[in-house]
Amino acid sequence: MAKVKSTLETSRKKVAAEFVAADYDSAYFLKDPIIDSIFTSMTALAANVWTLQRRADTTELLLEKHGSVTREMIENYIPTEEEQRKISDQRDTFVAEIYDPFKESGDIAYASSFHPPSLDLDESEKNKGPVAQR
Amino acid sequence: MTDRLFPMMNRRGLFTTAAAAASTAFLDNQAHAKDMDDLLEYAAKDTPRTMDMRGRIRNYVRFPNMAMETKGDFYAGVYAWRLYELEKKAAARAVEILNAKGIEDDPEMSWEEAVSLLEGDSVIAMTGRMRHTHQKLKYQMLQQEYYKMADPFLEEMERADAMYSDRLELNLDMHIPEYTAHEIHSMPGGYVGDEFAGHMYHAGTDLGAYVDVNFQDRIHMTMARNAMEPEDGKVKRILDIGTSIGQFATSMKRKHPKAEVWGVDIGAPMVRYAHMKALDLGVEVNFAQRLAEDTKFPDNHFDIVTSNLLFHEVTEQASRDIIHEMARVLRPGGVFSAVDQNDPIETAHNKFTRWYNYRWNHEDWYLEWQQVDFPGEMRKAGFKVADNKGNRLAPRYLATKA
Repeated sequence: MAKVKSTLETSRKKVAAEFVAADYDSAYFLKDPIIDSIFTSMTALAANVWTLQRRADTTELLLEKHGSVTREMIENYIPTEEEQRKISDQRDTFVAEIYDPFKESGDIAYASSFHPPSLDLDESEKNKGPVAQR
Repeated sequence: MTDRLFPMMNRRGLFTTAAAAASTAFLDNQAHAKDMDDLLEYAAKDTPRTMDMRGRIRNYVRFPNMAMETKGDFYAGVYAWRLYELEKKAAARAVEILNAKGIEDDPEMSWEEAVSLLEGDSVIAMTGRMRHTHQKLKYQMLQQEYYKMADPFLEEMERADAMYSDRLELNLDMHIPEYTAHEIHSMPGGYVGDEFAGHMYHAGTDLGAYVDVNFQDRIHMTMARNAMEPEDGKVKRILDIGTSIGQFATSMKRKHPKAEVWGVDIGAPMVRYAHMKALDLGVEVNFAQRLAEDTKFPDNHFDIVTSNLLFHEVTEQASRDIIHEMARVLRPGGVFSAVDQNDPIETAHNKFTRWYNYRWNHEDWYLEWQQVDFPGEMRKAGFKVADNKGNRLAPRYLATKA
C-alpha cells in the first residue's frame, strides 16, 4: 500500500515516518451519508456548547469568590473535588439529553397506513353515544 | 422483558463481568491511594516541560487551554454514554432481530452473516456512527491544537531528548514494516507517522477507551501489580515490548526500582514521548525505537517481559515471531505477562462489534489476532503457560520460560 507523509510544517526536529492512510472518512452508517454528516456536526456543536457552558460557570464561580476575574484565572482554574463531581453529573445529564433519543427507533413509517389504527366502534361502543357527550 | 433482552447465558456473563469489574475497581481504588503517595515521592526534580502553562493536577500535565480540556471532557462523556447506554440497547436489538428471523444466536456464524444480519438496524448502525464520530472529532481536535502550537511543543520534546539522552535510542533510518505503519484505531498517522503520536495516544486514550483508568497510569500500575514474577524472585532486567508511551514500563520500574527497565516500540514519536513522560515522573527507564520481533538484545537477557495491548495490533505472523523473540531474550525461569483480549465470541452482536472494530476503527489486524491460539503458540515456543482469565486491567497471559 502507498504510504504518505504528515502535513505538519515545522522548523523543529522531525522523527515521524511515512504511514499508510486509512479510509475512515469514506464510511457512512445511516440511510443517507448527509445524515451521518449532520450527526457529526451536531456532536461538534454540542461539544462547543458544553465548552461555553463550562466557561460561563467557571466565570460566575470566580466572580462570586473574588469579585473580578481575568482570562488567566478562568483558564487556569482547577475545580475542587466536590465541584468536579457536580461538573461530571452535569455533563452526563447534558449528554443524555442530547443522545437519549438515539436509543429509540420507531417501527411504523409515518405514511404507511392511511387510516388511523381503528375508529370502527363495535356494537357496545355505538350504544354509548358520541364520545363528546359522555 | 429482561430475559428477552439478555438470555440466561448472557445474563450470567454480564453478572460475572460486573462482579469482576466491581472487585477489580475496589482493589484498584485501594491500591490507587497508595500509588498516589508513591507517585508524589517520584515527582521529578528537573522536568523538561515548558508547555505545562496551565499547571498540573498532581503530576499530570493539563491541556494547553481550557477549551481543549472541556471539549475533551464532553467527548469522554459521549464515549461513556455510547458504551453504557446505546450498546446495551443495540445488544437487545440484535437478540430481537435474530428471534424475529428464527435464527439461533450462534457465535460460530460467519463474520459476513453476523454483519449482514445486523448492519441494517438503525440503533446498531448508530453505535458505529457514534464510535466513528467520537474518534474523528477527538483526534481532529487534538491534532489541530498540537499543530497550532507545534514549534513550542516540539522544542519541549527536543529538550527532553537532550536530558538523560543515554536513555533514549531513536533509529530513524531503520526499516519500518508496513503493517506497523497503519492508522491503527483511527489515530492520525498511527504510531509512526505523526510527530504528536505520543501526545495524541495519551490524550486520546484518556478521552476514550481508558476513561477513568488512564489518568496517572492507574490501569498500568494495576497491571504491574498483577504481572508475573520469576519463581526465584531474581529481577535484574525487565523489558516492555510495544511500550507505546511507556506506561507499563514505568509502572514496572516503580514496582522494581532496582531493576534495569527497557521499553521498545517501532514508533519514534511514541518512544520520544515515553522518554519525556518518564523524566516527568522521575522514573529511570530506557526507551528504544526497535521492533518487538527483533529487539537486538542478547539471548537470556531479561527476567521479566511485559506487553500491553500489543498483539491485537500486529499480524498473525508477527505474533508468532514476537513470541519466539520473547523466548529468546528471556532467561530460563524468566516470565512473560501479556495484557490483551481475544476471549471467545459469545453472540452475533459481539461478533458484529469486533468486526466493526476491525473495519471502521481500523484495528487492521484484529481479526487475524482472533485466530491466533496464543497459549498454544507460547507452548510451542517453549513456555509453560498459566491462563489467568485476566481482562483489560490485568495480564491475560502469564508464561514462564522452561
